[in-house]
Amino acid sequence: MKYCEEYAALLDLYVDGELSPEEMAAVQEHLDQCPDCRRYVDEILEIRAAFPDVEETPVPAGFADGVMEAIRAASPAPGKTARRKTGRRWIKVLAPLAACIAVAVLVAPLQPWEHSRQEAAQVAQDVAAEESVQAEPQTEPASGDSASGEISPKQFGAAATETEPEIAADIIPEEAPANTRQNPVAEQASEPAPEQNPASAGTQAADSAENGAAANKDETAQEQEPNTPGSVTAATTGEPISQDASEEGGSQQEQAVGPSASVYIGEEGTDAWVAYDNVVFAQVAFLTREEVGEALEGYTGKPYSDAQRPEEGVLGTGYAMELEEYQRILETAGKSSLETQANPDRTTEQCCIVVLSAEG
Amino acid sequence: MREEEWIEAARQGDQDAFAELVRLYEKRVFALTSRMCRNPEDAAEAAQEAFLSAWQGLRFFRGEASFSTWLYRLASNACVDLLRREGRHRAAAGASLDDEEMKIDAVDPAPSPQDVAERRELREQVEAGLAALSPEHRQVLVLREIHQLSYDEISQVLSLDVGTVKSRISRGRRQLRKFLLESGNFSGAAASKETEKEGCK
Repeated sequence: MKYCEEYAALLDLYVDGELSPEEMAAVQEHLDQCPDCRRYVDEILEIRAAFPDVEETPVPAGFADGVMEAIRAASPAPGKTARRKTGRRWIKVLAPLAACIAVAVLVAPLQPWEHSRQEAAQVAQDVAAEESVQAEPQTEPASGDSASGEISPKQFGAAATETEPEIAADIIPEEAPANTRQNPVAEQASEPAPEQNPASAGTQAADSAENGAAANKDETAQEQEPNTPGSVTAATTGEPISQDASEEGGSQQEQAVGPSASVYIGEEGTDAWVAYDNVVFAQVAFLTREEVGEALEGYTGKPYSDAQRPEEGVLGTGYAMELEEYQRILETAGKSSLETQANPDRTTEQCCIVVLSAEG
Repeated sequence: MREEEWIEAARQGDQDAFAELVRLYEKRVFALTSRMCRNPEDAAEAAQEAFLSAWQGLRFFRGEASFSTWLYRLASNACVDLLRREGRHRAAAGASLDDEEMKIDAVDPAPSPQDVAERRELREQVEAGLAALSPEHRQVLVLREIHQLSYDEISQVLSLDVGTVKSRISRGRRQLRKFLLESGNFSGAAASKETEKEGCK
């Protein structure tokens, strides 16, 4: 039977049509002479014939309708992405904070923004008022101050602290990751050239915050709300939204919304990348702002976090792109060594460059 | 081709187009999940999960791989997730996560004379034999024999290299064959009357 070992390895390939014509001919010739191998092939083909046809597969009645129902139920409007069930838990906890964020983002104490600030303050007040159903104490100072347009870091600290215990019970990050989240925005805010990025980051944060506030209610009713702050900040682009950390003083401190608030409250197009949750990129590279330099100029990033490491919160700002661009940017940054094999679990061929916050 | 149009439309957010894809693929997805999951409820849940993932991920689906291959992979992942979740619950309850426990209850390959006497259909035996295989071997055989995927396609669906696919198919097939021979209903290639003396030396 030793002779047969040589062909035995080929028999499966033979029955599966994976051999070249020459190889097939060689095997057929062997089969003519070898009853053992021929028996194996015959048996496999007999078993194959006994396999059920896929078209005979029983499917529960109404299955397709059930799937579409689930899609429709999860979509605020046709065509939008489904929201994860676990999102509800996050929303209940984050909504009050989201209201605070909305206020922080919208009520920027910058002179040129006077008019829009009042407008934004009014909107923020509305949002905060709506959230009063779950009113934690911190929403009151928030709405109380929005009229004057000033929110002190201290109040925000207090506001966030009050919900911290509740949050800690979940896997929402604490102070450090909060800074991580805020810093990409701060970084963008301090960039000299692009006015796009700060505004878009602000819009993005505002949208996220608004989404956090809105999503707890009937989402369709809130459709209008998210647009208002967004358009306010966009319309008055030109000044970066100051998101500096408290050591710089005098400005709001953006506390953690948590990395997943905007993810679970998806609109058309995801608002954040959560690895192993809403996406698995073919490759991911983590670079510092210094390493990236200006290579990502003009790109719009989204907060990037990893569902496999939820305790780390938002790791940075992720920029999705095709493999070629990804490779080019890595090379420019002198980081070609970070290239890896494509992740076998990937849900896309796109790669992601995550720009880490400057602070540790 | 209609399917490609549906895929493109669904990618733009057309739910009706996606519904067509669900109807088109539900049997194929169930053919996989019903054999990889422990019970019909899990199979349905994994199938639904696969389609929901497909809906959410469509915008990322570039169309380099075929839609079916991608969908089967989502279905396969959904089964794994389900098994893992259940495994976690059992682990929390103190049970071990031994791979053996992941198998569907195996039919005794050494049947009683009564079973043999019943002369069950070979098809039923094949299903029983599949169920007795390990998930890894079952997966590749289902994709090969029921879905008729090539080795390349199977390697894409399961994120394995082709060499692994080859060896799993080979081993799985031999195990299935052994099961069927031992169960007594599968006579093997009865037509072959050749004697050993003509065989390989």
